[in-house]
Amino acid sequence: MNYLTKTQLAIIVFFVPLVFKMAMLPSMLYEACGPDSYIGIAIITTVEFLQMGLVLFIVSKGGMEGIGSLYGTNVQRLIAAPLIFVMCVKSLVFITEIQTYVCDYLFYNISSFPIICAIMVVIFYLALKGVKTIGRIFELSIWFIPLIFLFGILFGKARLQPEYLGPLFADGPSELFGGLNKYIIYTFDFSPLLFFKIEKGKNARIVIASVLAVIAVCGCYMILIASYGRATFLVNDAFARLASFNTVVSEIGSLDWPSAMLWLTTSICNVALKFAAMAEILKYFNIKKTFGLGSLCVVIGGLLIFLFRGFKEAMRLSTSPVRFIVIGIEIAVPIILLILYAAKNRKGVTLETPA
Amino acid sequence: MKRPLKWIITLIGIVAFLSFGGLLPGEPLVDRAMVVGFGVDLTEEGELNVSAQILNPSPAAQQQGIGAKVVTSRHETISGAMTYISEKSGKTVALTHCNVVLIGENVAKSQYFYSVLNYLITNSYLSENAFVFVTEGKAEELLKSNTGFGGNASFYVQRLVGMYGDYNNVANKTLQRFVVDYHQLGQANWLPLIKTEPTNPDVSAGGDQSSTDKQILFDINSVMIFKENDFVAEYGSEGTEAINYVMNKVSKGNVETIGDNNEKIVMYIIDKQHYYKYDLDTKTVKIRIEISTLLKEIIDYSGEDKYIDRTSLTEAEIARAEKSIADNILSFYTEMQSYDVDIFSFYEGFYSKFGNKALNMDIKDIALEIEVEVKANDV
Repeated sequence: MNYLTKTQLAIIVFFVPLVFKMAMLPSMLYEACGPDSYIGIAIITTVEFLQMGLVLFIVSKGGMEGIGSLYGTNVQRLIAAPLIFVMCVKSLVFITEIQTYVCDYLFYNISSFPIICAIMVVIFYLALKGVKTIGRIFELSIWFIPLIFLFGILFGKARLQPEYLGPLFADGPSELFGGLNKYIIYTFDFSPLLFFKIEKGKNARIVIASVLAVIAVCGCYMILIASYGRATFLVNDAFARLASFNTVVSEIGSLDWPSAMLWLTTSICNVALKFAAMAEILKYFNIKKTFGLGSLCVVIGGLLIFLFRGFKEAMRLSTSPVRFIVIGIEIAVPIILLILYAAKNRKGVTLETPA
Repeated sequence: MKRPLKWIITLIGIVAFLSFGGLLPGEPLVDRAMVVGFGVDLTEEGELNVSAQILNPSPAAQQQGIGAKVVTSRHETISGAMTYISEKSGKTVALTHCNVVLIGENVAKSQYFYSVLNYLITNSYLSENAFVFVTEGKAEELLKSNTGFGGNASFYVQRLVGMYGDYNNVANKTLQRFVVDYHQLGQANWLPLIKTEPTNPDVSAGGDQSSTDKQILFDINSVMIFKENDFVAEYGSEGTEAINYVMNKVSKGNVETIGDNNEKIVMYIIDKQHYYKYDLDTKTVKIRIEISTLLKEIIDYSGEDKYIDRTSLTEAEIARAEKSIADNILSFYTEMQSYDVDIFSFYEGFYSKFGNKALNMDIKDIALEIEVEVKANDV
């Protein structure tokens, strides 16, 4: 079922920009921009929500499916096809992050092959079940957040040094924008929503979730930098470090598991969302969902096993000029859809969208 | 799928897992070498001598008083030595429960110092919140020692830090804080130094231990100062107190002062706050330290006892306590300046406030003004 409730959408809106900005990115961005990175990430996340606003507006008009009804299948295929490339590139980068987290942090130095296989199987299953299932899992995983906060209050021993957060723009803003430009592929992640139906109603929850997401991303970066200072570039698994309370290991065991569960669940669901969208695109080309998804999983899994073996290779791809094509498509597609809807609207053609 | 069916399948799954979960391949606890303390020394041949205090989880071992054993191995690298330990013990070495890392004095004073700690920091299994100490003498000997109040050395150290970690004269540092300080602008760093002393009166270990080694106590009131990778100096509790008052959380400990009639007065610390102010023009750092205390004890050595029965201190007595703390911090800072060590991270503070204008400062040019306020609450 390709239907999301407003609550599920609000939770997805909160997690989608957060998850992959909270793993490898903080250390890389700190290395590139210094302490300015928390300002930069707040700016870029805010801009990201402009894309989300546009995407949700288009969805309210009928989304990608509506374009098929208004302009025909060929136009629909032409606009949607480039997004397969976008989502494949992003999936490669993001799955490599999940694989690195499992192989290097969760289970120190284990082979990546079985992990990639397991991840691909889970993604295949979730994407096959559809966005409703993915939305439901997002909905359930949000309960880890109060648990992490509770453990943090009870056992956390953060030593925050506010002076590590400055100076801002010591070398001018060019360094900051250079860093953001390098890792721009980590933004503009809302285009999969174009392919799903969303419950009608007020958008207050979405707005609140967007604001909370910006605060959460910026806040986590600030806490991380205030904790690690100039050593932030060494912290590869930012979220795991922020939510680890291993001072109590010898007494009652590790309390890292809520953060591990939350990050793993939401990161896999995030990628599964892209695969579910890709399955919808393949349907426009008359490719059956199961076959299309299976083929995509085999191809991406094969690329991860044989070509992009490890995070460094995936980073080489994501920081190459390919990133401009990816982001260009992400931004251009909603704008094109908006223009197409506006053109039909001027001619007085409207689309009846189901409630 | 209908909801009742889902519940039935989930229930069957849980029952099946509980019933047959033991059949799944896994590593039993007894096959894991659960390391609770980790020590690194340097041999005369320049090799690393790695010691691991391993818990023996079997109930029989616990009953016989051999709940923990120290296994030692030599190698050029730590991971190589750990592999040997694994081979020797026939168990997988697990660092997940290791909360204490002991660095032998000879390693701390060698060029391998940061390499050793860097490996431990990047080892994902070892908690970055593990406490790091330098040991006076060999780390291996300290791990193997008979502690005065039972338990193995690793647990004993943990207990000391757990109970006295926020004391004004007790030093402790985690791996995470070490690496953060190492990467600061000044690259000044410090680590607590564990010294040992025999129990008084001396007693021999008996009962649960077969050896007749003397029982010892640990003293964690000293610190070793480093700059980048180099050892600079060692200080007793005066150095520890200066560092703690200026940089760390302090919520326990004693402040001593002399009364107006030469009586000895002790105040108990309940809280401490500190505030920094940086002035780039005068290159001055002003630190205000507020210490809340309770009046704990007055001993009148004159024997007249007429100054004891009171619940408050005079302004002069408090001023003496404040001056004593400020003087200690200033004298420690002056010594650090002479070593060119930015012990209180002033470079970082100036840079944070004033940006590139504050780069390339010299610690010898930075003046420190200390203002201490001791709030002595009535009992």
